[in-house]
Amino acid sequence: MTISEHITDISQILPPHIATSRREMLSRCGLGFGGLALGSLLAADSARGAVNPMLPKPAQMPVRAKRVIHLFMNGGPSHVDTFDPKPALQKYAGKAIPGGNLKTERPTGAAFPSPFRFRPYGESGIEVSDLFPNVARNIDDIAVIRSMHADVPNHEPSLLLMNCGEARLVRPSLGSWLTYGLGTDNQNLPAFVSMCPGGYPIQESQNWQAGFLPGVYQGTYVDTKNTRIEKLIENIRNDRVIPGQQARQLELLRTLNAGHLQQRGSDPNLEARIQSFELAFRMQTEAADAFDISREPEHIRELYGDGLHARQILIARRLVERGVRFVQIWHGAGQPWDNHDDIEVNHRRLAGQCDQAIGALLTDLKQRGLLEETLVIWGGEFGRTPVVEMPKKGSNQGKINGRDHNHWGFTMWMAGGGVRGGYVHGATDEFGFRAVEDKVHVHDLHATILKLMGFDHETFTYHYAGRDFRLTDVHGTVVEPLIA
Amino acid sequence: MQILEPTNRLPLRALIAVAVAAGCTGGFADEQEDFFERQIRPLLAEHCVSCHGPDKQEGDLRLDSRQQVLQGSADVAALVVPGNPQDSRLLQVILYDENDVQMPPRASLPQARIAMVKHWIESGAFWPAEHSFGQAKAVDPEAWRRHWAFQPIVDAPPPDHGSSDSHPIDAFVRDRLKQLQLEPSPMADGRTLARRLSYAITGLPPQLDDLRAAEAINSDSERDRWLSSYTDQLLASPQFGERWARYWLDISRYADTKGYVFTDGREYANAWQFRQWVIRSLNDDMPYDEFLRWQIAGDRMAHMTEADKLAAMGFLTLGRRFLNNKHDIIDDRIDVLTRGTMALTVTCARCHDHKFDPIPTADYYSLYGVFDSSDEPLNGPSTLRLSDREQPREPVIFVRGSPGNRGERVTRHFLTALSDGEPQPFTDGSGRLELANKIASADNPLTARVAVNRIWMRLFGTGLVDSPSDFGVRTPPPSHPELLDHLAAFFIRNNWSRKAVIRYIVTSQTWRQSSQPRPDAAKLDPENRLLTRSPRRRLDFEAFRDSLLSAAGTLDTTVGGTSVDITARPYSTRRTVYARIDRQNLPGLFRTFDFASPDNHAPRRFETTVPQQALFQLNSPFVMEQARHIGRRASKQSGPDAITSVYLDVLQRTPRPDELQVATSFLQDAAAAAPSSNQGFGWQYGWGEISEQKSSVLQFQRLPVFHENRWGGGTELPDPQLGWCMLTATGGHAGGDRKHCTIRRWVADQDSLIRIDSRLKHANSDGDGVTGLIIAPNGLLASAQVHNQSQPIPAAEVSVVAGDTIDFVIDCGANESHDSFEWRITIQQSVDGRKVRDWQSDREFSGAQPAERLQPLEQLAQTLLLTNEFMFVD
Repeated sequence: MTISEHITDISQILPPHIATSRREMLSRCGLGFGGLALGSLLAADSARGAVNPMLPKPAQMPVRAKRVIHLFMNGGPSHVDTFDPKPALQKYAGKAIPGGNLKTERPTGAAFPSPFRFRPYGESGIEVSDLFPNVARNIDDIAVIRSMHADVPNHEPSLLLMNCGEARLVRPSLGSWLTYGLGTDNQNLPAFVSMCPGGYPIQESQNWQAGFLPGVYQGTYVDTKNTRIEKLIENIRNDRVIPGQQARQLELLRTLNAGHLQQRGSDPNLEARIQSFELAFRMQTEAADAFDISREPEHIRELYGDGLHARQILIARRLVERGVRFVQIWHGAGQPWDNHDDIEVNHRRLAGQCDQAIGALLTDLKQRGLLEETLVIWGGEFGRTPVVEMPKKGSNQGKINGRDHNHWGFTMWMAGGGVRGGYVHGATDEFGFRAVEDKVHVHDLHATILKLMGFDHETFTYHYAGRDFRLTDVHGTVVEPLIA
Repeated sequence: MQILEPTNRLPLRALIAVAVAAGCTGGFADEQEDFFERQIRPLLAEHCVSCHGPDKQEGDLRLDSRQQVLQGSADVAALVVPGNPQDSRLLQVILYDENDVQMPPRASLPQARIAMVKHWIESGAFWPAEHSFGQAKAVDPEAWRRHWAFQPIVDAPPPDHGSSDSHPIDAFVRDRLKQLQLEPSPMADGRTLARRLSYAITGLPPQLDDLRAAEAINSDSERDRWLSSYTDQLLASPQFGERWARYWLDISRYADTKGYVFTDGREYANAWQFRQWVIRSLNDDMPYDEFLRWQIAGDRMAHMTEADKLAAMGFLTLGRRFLNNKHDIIDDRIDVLTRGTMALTVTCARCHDHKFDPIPTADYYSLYGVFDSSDEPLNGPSTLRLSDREQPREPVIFVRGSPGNRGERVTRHFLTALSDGEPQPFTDGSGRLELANKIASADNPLTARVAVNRIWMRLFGTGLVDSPSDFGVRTPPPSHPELLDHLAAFFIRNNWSRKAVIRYIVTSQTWRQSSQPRPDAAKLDPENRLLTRSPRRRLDFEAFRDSLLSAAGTLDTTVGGTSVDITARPYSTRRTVYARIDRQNLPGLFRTFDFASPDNHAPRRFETTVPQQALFQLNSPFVMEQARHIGRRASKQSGPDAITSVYLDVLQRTPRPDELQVATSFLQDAAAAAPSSNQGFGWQYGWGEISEQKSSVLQFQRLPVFHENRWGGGTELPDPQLGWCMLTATGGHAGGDRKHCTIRRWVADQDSLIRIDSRLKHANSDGDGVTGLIIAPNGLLASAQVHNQSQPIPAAEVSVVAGDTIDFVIDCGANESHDSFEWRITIQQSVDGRKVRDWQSDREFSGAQPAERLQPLEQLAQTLLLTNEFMFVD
């Protein structure tokens, strides 16, 4: 039997390394489902259709990271102003850099030294600018990748590449792949949460799309501008039936469904739906709890600081602590880090919004023993040019104090989850324009993340439209030195 | 080097154990073959065969030869010893031991793959005997010609089993059952069949009268007659087209929007016209070949003025826009066309020849050329159409799919695999009309088979071919090949009538069987592919939502029209097929209920069971509104009659005595739980009179108007009757005297312990300040007087029962001048020592007064709407 488009078939809903024999299931069904405890309603226990595809599943290989927090600095933060110091820019300040500028989205001019001061941190002595002092205090837990590169200097394709491994076509996002492969450890919360305050980033919900994977693997979008749980999670509250009465409704439902089931013999689809109401009932209190940071002690809230970013980053910690598989945090709607102008003012403002909370997140995860198995990823869809952007009608405000997009070379960092801390991987050229040493393409990053999560990016596939698809398509090499 | 233990991370070992334990030896080889074909054969092909295969045989080895690998040859020993990885040369060399040969020479295989090879050898090194390697290309370039899907349709007579009057479908199905000595299931009862038919054909529950008629019939022949006429009646109803159109919209990746756009307009304003056209053509039973021609080349069949007919081409044009990247737009069109009509994955050939199917890259770019030679208008009433360019464009192959890398020129022509000899170049304009005719042809071995297989799948849940959009050489053969051909031939013979095929299938005994499980058949046929019973089906999203509306009596049965946002209030009561599909921001509701992704051609729906579905059914205002309609209707009666009314609306039957008893006691409990009122819970905004002692609220009335973010007496301030009395998110203004106090009320939703913290602020040195009073049913809990100051009101803890009110009253003192105030209130609620919820007056401030609670009968109605009986069709 070839597994192809058996969509209602378990083998399609579950990844190939899990998909189990329908005959196996049958033999189990023969034992009768009714006697099984709730927790044993394993995904693999049912043959066709209605199973809960979110139940936890083992990875292919040993696991380093169990969950991910991806801090997405959308718009493209400047690497030469944050994690990739380039003293040579000072030397050439206001002059053309030798070798000329690489082609980016817009016209660019002379070398533009960073207005921010870099200094070494930690035992590793890795230099970080004064935009991220709180992150820097955790530098010995961080692997800084200074040799990232992508394909084009435009937001839309680069966002899709970073999230889905493909710049144009509809493909599942990293978070969807991972929830497809691993399920989630908490059935009372969404498995893949994407938080963005005030609206969507550009490319919108495509950034967390499930593509051709089942829709349940798509990221659940949460607008963290809201503080009320009923705005954060759909249908989590009921304004017309009081909780005690809803419990009675469920009791009646249980009785009616039991009678219905009895007349029809064992049927895993009927059973699964009965269980889903029990889960939903519990989710109403669990989810409200997870998103409510007022339940954190004062000193933890102080650690993260005030404001929206502190709140969503603290929520992220509460979510991963509860077993949510993949949490993506966007800096804000649109493309906040896209500072074609006034980069000094804007980068300072943006970093100021999140530095304390990100530093707190790393510290907090570590003190709870969660950092070891939580992979924290920081970065944008690309970096910015080391040279100044020239004024151009309709594209910037003519201030000549910003930087253009740069896909040739940029920085991302990772921490926790089996990553080698206090380590710098790769390098850009003297000016920070192009990655030159130990280059890491986005596909390589994906391959590495998958490995940390227990997957071989070449064999972790999904059969669709006649072929097996991968997150990395036909590309990607695991960057072994990043792994501790 | 350490080998990763495959152990339980790989499925096969577990499978074997269980399969053997269950005595399912029949499936063992299947699973092994599957593992070999999915994991091992591709690995050998990718890493070994280029040097050890048909082209080169380095070391006299061929790893595409089963014989060579498993048995060896005269010169070379076997490479694999089944069950013994250590002694298997193949494993030894891929282990990359420094003291040994290392294969593949360039780089070691990933550990996971080595583990798979080890595992394969351990579990017996299964390699199916008959196939040779590399599918069509490596050994026998013509092998695909033997693939069943490319063979002409053969209309073989049905096997005869002595019963000449049996339905041909039954004859085919029973022939296979007989080989396994299985009997079909008995026929389902009349009621079950009426419901099954109604959902299958219209996606809606049957009318109560029809159910009753079906139940009343006693004789088999009379029932057959009735079912047959009921089938005709359903097929003639416009609801048929609405239901089956949606299936075609899945195939067409229909949406009302373009997907991500940067600055362009986001809407396909005329998309609904395509839906309309599909509904109409189904209701008119337009022959399917004509149906396809309109959608591919309608511009060559209609006059420019027939915009409604040209909308048929929305099939091609309503895809994503990919930021107007032409290559991707065309790729999307080729995909929807070839998978949708012929179940061929032609877009696999965009970058290289198809790995398995006989589809060279040249074929892909020949179709690319057809679409590249077709333009679409950007404005006007018929924006969904294509038309041929004056000068067709001659396509070239983009090497590896890259437009910058131009390869050889190709003609615009039809697929090589479906042509006699070399495909002839298209000569008529872009070639789109010729393409349409090649697809919509009785000579095309795929088109009719694919169409009837899709119809079968919609009716049985699973197609005769289990991969409805991939009939390529790697797909498994049909479960009933002769039946598939019989249906395809029937389809063509009946002028490509989809209604005729549906009628033909649903009048078979096979379709009319009971859906009760068949333990006797389960081992031999676990997936029920042989159809020993009818499958039990869960309502899909559309049928579910339509059924809710139907049960509530609110369903709007208007046929056709523009798209509606079904998630916005007030809720639309139109059928779900008319829902606006925003492909970029598809509401969670659709995804939760496994709606087809509007991004790609969707061969069939996933079917998942997740708690978010249950949350929607438990808590969404939409579902509760439908329950309210049902409950209100029932409330005109009392006692058992009211319960019966709810049962008839929702489950379309009367309750059994035990159900009546359970429902009665449910209603009694529900009534006892909220004896006092039907008011909502949470925050309410009002005014009223307090007692002279200022310890109780004598009268509470809601503030009538919400305007400019405040509740007040009217839109003007002061209001002629209520003066300055008003409430905002954070505070408000006092009323004029003891009889017109401003009151923010909180109503308990459950028996609980609450702790109230609040801070009252008056920020004006003029006037005499205000007094805040916190009043519970049994008296004053706390109070504070403030004048140009801010102070916390002492925290209060009190036990409440559901429905209890806590009033936050502002007393203006001597007069109401300068009596604006701020009063932020937090209520922490716990049950049995466990914190359940924080209520916050400012955060939860709302312009809507709380909804009325569901009454007991309404709660009963909602509960019945949640049942499996409602959600599944036997």
